[in-house]
Order: sequence, then C-alpha cells, then structure tokens
Amino acid sequence: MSSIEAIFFWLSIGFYVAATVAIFAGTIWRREQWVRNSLILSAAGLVAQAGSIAVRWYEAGHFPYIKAYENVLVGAFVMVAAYVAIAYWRKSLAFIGVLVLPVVLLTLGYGYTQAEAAGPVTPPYQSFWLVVHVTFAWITYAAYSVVAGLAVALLMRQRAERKGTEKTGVPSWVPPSDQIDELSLKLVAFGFLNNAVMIASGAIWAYRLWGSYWSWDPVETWSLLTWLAYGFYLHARLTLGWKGARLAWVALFALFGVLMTFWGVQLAPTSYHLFRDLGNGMIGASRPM
Amino acid sequence: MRDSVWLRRLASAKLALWLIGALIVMNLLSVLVPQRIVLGPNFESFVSDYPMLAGLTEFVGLSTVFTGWPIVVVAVLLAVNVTACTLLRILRRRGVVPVPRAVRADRVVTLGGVGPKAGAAFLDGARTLLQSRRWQIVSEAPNGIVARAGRIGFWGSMLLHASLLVLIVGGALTAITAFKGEMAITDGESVVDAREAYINVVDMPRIGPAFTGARISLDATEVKYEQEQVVSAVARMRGVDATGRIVNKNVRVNHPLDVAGKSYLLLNSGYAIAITVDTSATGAAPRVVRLSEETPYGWRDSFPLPPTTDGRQAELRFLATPVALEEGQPMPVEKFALTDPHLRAKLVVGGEEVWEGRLKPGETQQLGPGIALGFDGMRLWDRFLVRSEPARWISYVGFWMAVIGAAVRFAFPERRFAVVVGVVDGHEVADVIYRVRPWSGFEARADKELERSLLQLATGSAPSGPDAESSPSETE
Repeated sequence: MSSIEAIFFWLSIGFYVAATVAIFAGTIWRREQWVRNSLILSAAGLVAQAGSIAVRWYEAGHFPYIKAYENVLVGAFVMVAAYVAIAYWRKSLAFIGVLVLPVVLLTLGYGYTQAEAAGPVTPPYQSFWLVVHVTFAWITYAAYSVVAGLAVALLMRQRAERKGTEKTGVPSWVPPSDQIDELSLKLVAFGFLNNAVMIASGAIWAYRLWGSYWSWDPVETWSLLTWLAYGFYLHARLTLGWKGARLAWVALFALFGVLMTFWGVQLAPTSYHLFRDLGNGMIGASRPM
Repeated sequence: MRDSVWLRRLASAKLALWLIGALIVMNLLSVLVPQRIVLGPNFESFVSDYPMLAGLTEFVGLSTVFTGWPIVVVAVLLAVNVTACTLLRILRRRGVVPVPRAVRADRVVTLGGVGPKAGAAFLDGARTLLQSRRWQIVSEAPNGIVARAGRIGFWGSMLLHASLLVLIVGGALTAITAFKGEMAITDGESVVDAREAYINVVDMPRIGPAFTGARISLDATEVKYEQEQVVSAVARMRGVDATGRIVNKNVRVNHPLDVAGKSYLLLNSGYAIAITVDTSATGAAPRVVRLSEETPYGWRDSFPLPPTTDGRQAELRFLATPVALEEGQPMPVEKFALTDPHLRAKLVVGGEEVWEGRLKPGETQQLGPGIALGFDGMRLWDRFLVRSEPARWISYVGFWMAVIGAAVRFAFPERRFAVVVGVVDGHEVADVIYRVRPWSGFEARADKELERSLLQLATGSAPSGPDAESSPSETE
C-alpha cells in the first residue's frame, strides 16, 4: 500500500469509525440527528475510500479485483455505497448502519491484514468470468449485509414496541416493521439473483482454471449454502408467509453463511488449500490434483 | 384436487430446513476436518503431520464428507423435496379454486351495499374492464370473478426450481463420466492421448472411453514477467482428434486446449535439456531429458548410462540454470526466462564423481575415456491437467436456468384481482380484493388505477380527493 493510498484508506476508516460511534450513540440516546449525521460521515468515508481505490487502480494498472485486500477494498465500498444509497432514498433507514458499519469496519480490518503491494494481474486472474464472478459477489454481499442491517432494525423496533410506553417506546424515525419487511424481501430477491450469477460464473471460471466446475471446495460449498439459505428466506416469506422477527432471524442466520464464505473458511487452520493461495507458485494454478 | 399426504410431507418446508441444516453440518465438518477431495496429494501431508488424527478421521469417514453416502442422501432428498414442491404447486394451480379463496388478500377494498341486480351488472362490467386490460379471468362464480396477470413470473419460479434438479442430474452424470489425469509435454514434443502418456490418472469414467487417441503437440512455451511476477505464460499448442480435425491454440492459464472432449489445462513448467551422449557402447545419441526436481539452485535430475566395462554403475547428474550462476548461487526470480542457459554436469561411476563441468549450448565435453557429452540447448516442459467433464454442459444449463428463472420470477410479479359480491348483516356488499406476489412491481401504479376504475364502476362515480385511493374502506 503506497503512502497516498494509505492516507485515503485510513481517512475512510476514520470516517466509518466516527459514523459507527454516531449511529450507536444516536440509537442509545435516541437522537435522530446523530443517526443522520452518521449517514453524512459514511458518505464522506465513501469518498475517501473511492480515493484509495482510484490510487490503487492507478498504481496497479488494473481495476483492483484480485487477492484478498483488493477484493475487500472494493467489496466494502459497494457495501457502504448500497447502505448510503438506501438510507439517502429513505432517510428513516439510516438506522441500518448499526449493523452495516461494524461489518464494513471488520471487513476492512481483515483486508488490511492481507494487504500486499499493488502488482500486475497474474495469469490465474486473467479471466472474463472472474471479473463477472467478483463483481456479482460484491453486489450480492452488499445486498445481503444491508438486509441484515434491516433485520437488526426490525428486531430493535419490535423490542421497543414491546416496551410500549411513550418515553421508552419506538423512536419516531424508525420505519414500521412492514416497510422493513417489504424492503428486505426486495433486497434478498436482488441478492439471490446476483448470487446465482456469481455461482454460475464462478463455476465456469473454475472449469477453465482448475478443470472442474465444482470441487466441493469449502468456499464453493459455503457460497452454495448461503444461496440455499436465502432461498429458504424467500420461501419462508412468500410461501409460508413468515414476517417480522422470525424472518429477521433467518436473515441474520443467513448472513453467517456470507461471513463463512468470505472469512470463516479462509481462517480455518486445518485447510491446506484455499483461494488465498491462488496465484502462488510458478504459473500459479493453486488447486492440487 | 386433494393433495396426497405423502406429497405434502415431501414438499414441506420443514424437510427443506432439515436438509439445509444437514448441509451446514457437513460444511462445518469439511472446514474443520481436512478433506481428501479438496487437498488431493496434499492430504498426505496431513496424514504424516497428524497420523493419529488422520487415521481417526479416515476411519470415521469424515475426511470424505462430499464423496460419501450422506451427501448423496441429502442431495437426493433435496431433489425429491424440490420436485414434490413444484408438483404440488402445479397441481394446486390446475385445480378449480372457488371465489374468493383464489386470492389471499394483500389489500381488500370494501364497497358500500350493492343490490342483487346492481351486483350482477357490476360483475359483468368488472369482467369486461379486466379483459379489456388483458387480464385473464381464471375463476368465475355467480358471486364473483378472479382475474390474473403476470403469469410468466410463475413459470420463472418453475424454471428456478427445475434448475436445481438439472444441477443434481448434471452433478451425478459428472461423477460417472469425468476423467482426470496429468500429463507433461516438452516444447517441440507430440504425444498421443493414451494411458502411457500420463504421469498419473486420478479419475476414470465409468461410462465411455477414457482415452481419445488425439495427438497433442506443444511447439513452444513463452513466459513473460513484470515486476518479478509471471504476467503471461503461453503454450503454443496443436491438437488433432481421431477424425483429423485440427485445433491450434495459444494455451494459457484459464484458456485450455479443448480437443476430443478433453481440456488440457496449463498448470506449471520445468526445464528440459537437449543433450547428445556419445559412448563407445551406444554411439552418439541425441535426446531430450525432462528435469524433474526443482531446487533453489536450478533444476536437477540424473540420467543412467550403460555400465562400464568393469561392471560399475554409471550416471550423469545435471543441474540446469536459466543464466550463468556460480555454485550455491540461488536462481533468479524470472526463472523461465532462459536468457543464458547453462548446464552443470557430473559423471558418477560406482558412486564416485569422476568428472564435473559446466556447459553452454553448443558445447561438447569429453567426460572420460569413451564418453562425451554435448549440450544442445535448453527448453521448457509443461505440466497439464487433463480433464473431461462432458456432463458439465448440463450443469451450466442448470446454473443459467436458475439465473433466468430467478430474474423472471422477480421481474414479473403475479397479480390478482378478485371482485366478490357477498352478504354482510343481511346486505349485499361488494369487495375488490387485490394481491401481488412477490411484491408490487413496476405495474403497481397501473394496478392502483385499475382498482380505482373498478371502484368507479361499482359506485358509478370517480373517487375524488387525496384519500380517493383508500375510499370507501381499505384494509391491507
């Protein structure tokens, strides 16, 4: 990471930390303005992060989409962009940053530990299908993390509703449960569709790179499970008619699959082969026979 | 139509939940316990590092989570669950559903009292209005009608569910038709796709021939570097299948050579040396030797020679480097750029080193009485993963069916209007019931307008004012 890139990177982290503090403080002390301010801080962080992506792009000579750090850098950007866009569209939903912002900070923190100097695109990454795969992964996980944020908002709203009194009751800016439910459904459907494209393009890339479209690799199987979990969410909502807290818990549970795909299996101590090794070695197809 | 109890049980969401739960458990196990299918030969490192643990996991079968019977059972049950669910939906759809049960309401607009005569006229008018807007009347009774639009969304859902079955079939066929092996080809060499051309064969198809007889040629391999990293590795290849069809391709990682149903994927490279060994027993014999072992100081291998006249074993030992290096000096990072190749050779007779020297391309050295070594040049050899998964196309179709099905399902929401005349407290009352699934799509505004037209039809006047949309009374 160059010094200019690092300045933008840490600037964005600073804004996101400030936004997280503001949103938690606003939620705890019921100050709507603080929650709105957190949205402004997030937008500022987004601009700074765009700067770090631009610098990285310039230095590497290609759009940053390879290896863990670049993936995380752009992935977190898309996540915050989705959050800011939705919260800007409906101001009352700025509240979902309660989950989205900590997840973004964790993601960027993980990415920082994996940071490498910008370099050329090595042969394993020179694939159209990889670009499709990664792009749709960013969009998918951004949608899913916003859904999880909405689930937290819904659970907090219902908890507040149960308390019931005027003073400790529901903050006026938190949207009604059915609105959150409706938006969550749309985002899950959007994420589910993108997830399908991500898996399909990933399978085609895998065949061109490793000679097998499906190898039961931990990353593959967790991404399939995540897709099935969100498929269950859609069935629970549309076929079984689940709503409210029950569905919110399904969304949070399904996010566990996303986290496992992205981090969990990468950190597993007993896995000898993982995508993190991709590109090492001579010409660099890492999957063993 | 009454659904069979078994069909309902097999189609249940509970079963789906249990199956997804079982998959999660399998996945957790596969992350925690090293898997043979994922690690391949590297699994042996795990066995040697942790022999007791490895033995235990192998004994219990946890090291092959995705190739054992549990995954087959879960996959089959999932296929049955999806099939039953899909069948049930189609069967229910074909059945006659009475009005107004055909519509589970998202929004109910209750009109005021409607007399029997006015009610019948209202239903006639509503039918005409709906049909003029291209709504399909799906259910009709003396007390009401049900109309539907956006039916294509339902078929999107069917396509999405059918895709899972196609994927499972594709996966099963792949398991019995796949071929997997490894092959090494040197620049300038041709091989025929037969068992003896392979270094190893891991998977043999249970159906169909394993070897194609295609001739595969490698003309040259070119590797380029930037910032001490490989940015391009191209193997210029040619394949000729049994019918004589010729395929020329610049093969790269991610861009395999596809000939006779097999894909030749470039994995990595090594050094090969062209030498001429001239002994009194064999005469001058040019040959190409693939050096099999990479070390930090170069690629090395040994080459057996005929025994000496006094019966002692003799061999040549080689260490090749891409540039001139002093002994003990490590290889450059750009190791496949053969800019100034050198060959260090040793003649060992009966375990005793009798000659050592360094050769440049074109040089010949006399190693001893009756033996000479000529170094003709150095080139690369490539290791290829050879795969054949003929059923992958079925799975690809399944993947894109899922994508298209999901897109259609969510792009075309299915909407229903039910117009019902019922009796409440002895008075005839008309309801307009509206439902949209999975959500109010792009047509929501048009549907609202249609709803207002239906209300206008019932009351004989257009609702007015800011609350017009919710008058006379609306529930959701």
